[in-house]
Parts: sequence; C-alpha cells; structure tokens
Amino acid sequence: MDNLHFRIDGSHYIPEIDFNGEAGILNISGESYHEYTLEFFQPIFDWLNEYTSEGNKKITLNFRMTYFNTSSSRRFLEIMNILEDYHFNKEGDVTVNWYYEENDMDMQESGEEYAEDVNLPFNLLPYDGATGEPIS
Amino acid sequence: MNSQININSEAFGYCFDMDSKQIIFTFKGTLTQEILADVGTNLRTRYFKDRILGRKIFSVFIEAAQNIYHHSSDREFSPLRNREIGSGMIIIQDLKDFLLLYAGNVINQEKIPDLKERCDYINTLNAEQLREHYKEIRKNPAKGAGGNIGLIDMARKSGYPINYNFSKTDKGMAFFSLTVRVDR
Repeated sequence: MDNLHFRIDGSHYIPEIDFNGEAGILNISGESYHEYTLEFFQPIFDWLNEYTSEGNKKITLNFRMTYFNTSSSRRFLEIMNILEDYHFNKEGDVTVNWYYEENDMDMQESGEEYAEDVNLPFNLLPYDGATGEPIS
Repeated sequence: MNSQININSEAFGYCFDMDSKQIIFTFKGTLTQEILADVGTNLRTRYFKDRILGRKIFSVFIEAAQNIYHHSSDREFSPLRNREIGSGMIIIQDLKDFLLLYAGNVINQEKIPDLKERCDYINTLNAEQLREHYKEIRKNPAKGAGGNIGLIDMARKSGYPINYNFSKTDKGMAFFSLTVRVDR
C-alpha cells in the first residue's frame, strides 16, 4: 500500500479525517453534513478497503464528532461494518472509541446505538466540553 | 397585471408581518451547502445559552433542508455543483415555549402515498420505537442520495408527531409541507 497516511482537512460540514495506517489509528472528528456523503466518503472507503486487504492488524477507530446528519450516520455504520468484517474474518484486532462531550445526550445516544449495531469492542468516552479532557 | 413588489409598502409589510409572528428565519430557493453551514452556525450562535435547543433546531434544519435539496421536484441547475439541486422553503418561528420549523417543497403527486405512509407510521411510534425504526432503516441500503432516515430523525429530535400536509397543484404536482416542533 503506497499511501499509509490519509488525511482530509475538516471544514464546517466536512469532518477531519486523519488515518495513520502505520500506527493503525483512524481518527474522524468534527462535523459532517456534506450534501453528497457518498461522494465525500468514497475515497475513505477505498482507502479502508485497501488498508484492510491485508490481515492481522491492530486498528483503533476514534470518533470525536460534535454533529453529523443522518446521511453521514449511514456512512459511519458502513465504515464500522468494514472494520467489523476485518475483525472477524481477517484476524484483525479492532477497537472503536466513541468520544462525546459530557451532557451531549444526542451524541452519547448515537454512540450507544452504534455499539448495539456493530459487534466490535466499543468504548463510550465522555470528555469535558470546556477543556476537552476525558472524564473518568 | 403588475406583480412587482412595492418596496415602500409591501416589503415593509412582509417584514412587519414576519416580526409580529416571531419569524426568525425565512428562505425560499436553493439551499446550497454554504448557506446551510452559514445559517446553521447562526442558529447555534443565537441559542448559545441553550445549547441543547440550538443543536436540536440546527439538526432539524439540516435534515429538512437536505430533504428539499435531494427530493424537491422544483430543481435549478447549479453551475457551481454542475448538477440540479432542489428548491423549497423553510421558515423558523420562535414562540415563547417552543420553536416551529416549517419546510415546504413541490413534489410529484405520485410520491404522496409513500410519503404519507412513512409520516403516518413514524407518528404512531414512541421514542423507543423510533430509535429501533431508525436503526432498522439505517441498516438497509439507502434509496437515492439521502439517508431515508431524515424524517425519523426529525421526529426523534422533536418528540412530537410530524405535522404534514399535501396540497395538490396543477400538472400532477403537489406542495408537501412539514411542521416540526422543538421545545425549549
């Protein structure tokens, strides 16, 4: 795989994508409400499919979203499904970390719903809205 | 017949009328991504003291706008996007205890039965059932460019039934309107 580092800078409606293939750390953060989510996410799916073509990797997928539309919510599920398949069928070791601001019930519930829908080690991790520090 | 607006009397009248009805936002036309981002930021800034309300009205606004964008039958070519995008109308009213978001666009009358069935079904569900319905639909492949879950999401954010209406117009078209309530 030539391109081990995949990055898209975030904007108002585009999430920041920072995939470090070497470290196995995939970060998605910010807001996501692109009007054509499939077009936006396609290069991300392409990268992930190539990255997961070789088995046995330890991968951590970190979501730290403040808002996403329903269309993005589908794409996130698709990303998790790719990694779920990798975890079970290619001897991968995948963990999903879902960060949400404490008191952001919508974001917390979104995380809980994904945790129910995908069969992967899944951590729901609240953080302090003011400092961004984790809350234990 | 001269249908020009008289800027001195009529335009002022519109403005006065909107103020008296506590309308904080009104838009008619094509809602591009840039307008969405801009209005969304303004909405959340406006309700910065009540962030939950700000987030809820913002997300209802985005879903309503993107429904119009993808599904309105009244479409305009966007040179910037190099494709046609849907045109429609959104109004937000800030009443004392709650906000109302009105969204409307033209659709083909053929779409009425399916839309009506979906709205009616959503309106029979309680919060827990809406959550399950949302997850169920999300698992299935989407039809078209949207997510097919915008209506369910709006109902979840609102906590009230979706108030909808179809007014048949000519040439087999209809005006589809939604009213979504968000409490303070």
